[in-house]
Amino acid sequence: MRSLLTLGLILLTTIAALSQSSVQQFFDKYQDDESFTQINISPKMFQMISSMDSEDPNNAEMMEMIGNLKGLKILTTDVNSQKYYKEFNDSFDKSVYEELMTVRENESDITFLVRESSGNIVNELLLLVGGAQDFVLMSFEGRIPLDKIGKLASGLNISGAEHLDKLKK
Amino acid sequence: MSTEMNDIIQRYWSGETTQDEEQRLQAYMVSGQVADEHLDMAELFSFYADQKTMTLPEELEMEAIYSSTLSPMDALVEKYLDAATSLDEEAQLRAYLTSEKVADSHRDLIPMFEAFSAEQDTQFDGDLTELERLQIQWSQKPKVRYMFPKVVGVAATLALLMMIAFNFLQEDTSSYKGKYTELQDPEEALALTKDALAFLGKKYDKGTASMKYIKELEKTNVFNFKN
Repeated sequence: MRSLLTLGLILLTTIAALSQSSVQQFFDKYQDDESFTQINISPKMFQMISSMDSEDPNNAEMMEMIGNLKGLKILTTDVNSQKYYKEFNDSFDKSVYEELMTVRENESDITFLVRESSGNIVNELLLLVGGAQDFVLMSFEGRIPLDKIGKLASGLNISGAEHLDKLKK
Repeated sequence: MSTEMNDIIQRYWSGETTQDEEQRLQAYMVSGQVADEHLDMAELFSFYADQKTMTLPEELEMEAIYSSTLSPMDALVEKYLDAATSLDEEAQLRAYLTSEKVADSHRDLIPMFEAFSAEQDTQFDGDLTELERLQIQWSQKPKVRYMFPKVVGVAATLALLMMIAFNFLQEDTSSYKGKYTELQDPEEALALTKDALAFLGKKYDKGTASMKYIKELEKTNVFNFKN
């Protein structure tokens, strides 16, 4: 009886592991790797953010976007960036993620992937950067209107991204 | 004679006699020719006379008595215990006590003397045990010993302050590098999300800009793009 239970448990965990998205597996794989920096902001944290009274009149679009987010994961490293970029490109589940576009900028390959899109709204947007120095993988989850993304950069003051810099320091 | 004596005795009892008269009275009483009526008094006077001849011996005479009745070593021991012996005498005493011919009354002195002479033989030969060296060190540095608890206290306080300061500093310049961080502070999460979205927007703009460019090219039919 006990062995049956154990077997069932093992089976369940295996199924759970298999059913995890290929992207999540990639995040999990390097979670404990010290050459990687990984940051996770949970759905609960986004609930708290949206409940915070932090209205930014200059940046209404940004706040609206954040209000619709349910999760943010960032994975980055400055070691073997090209190798990891290739590894991710080879491993992600192409039946789930659809390539939105790929750009080459200053010797960096930038790929945008989307999941479950309905019109302009996607449930997950992946940003993948494979440069000579950096590998960055960002996963934005929630209800993301693609046509609003382009306005995010213009709405932010140039001095921004100081928090992102902390990923590398 | 008898009447004269009566008169003297009468004044003697009243305490009015002179010394001469008392001597005369005394002489009379001890003489053989005491009147019967004065015999009672004669006994008293003979007692007085005895008392008078008994003088308290001087200290030195006592010593003389002791030394005459006891052995010469007894006297020496006595003198030693009074700390009045000369070095020679002490050497003599030591020789006596370490010899075989010790009187029974002096046997209990032997251990004491042995201990003393053992102490005397101890010499500082510069070879201290570690403990003795430490003891000397401590005794020579009373200030250090006094300050020690204070120094420790100050050091502990400093260490505590530094730890607190370090914690604060680390909080401020906290780095995510090289580890997995699950953000717990909404403010921090919000700030990071803004940065991430801005980063995304910038890259997205680059992408769409080049896409527009390609679309422009497509319109001109230079390339036959089929999306």
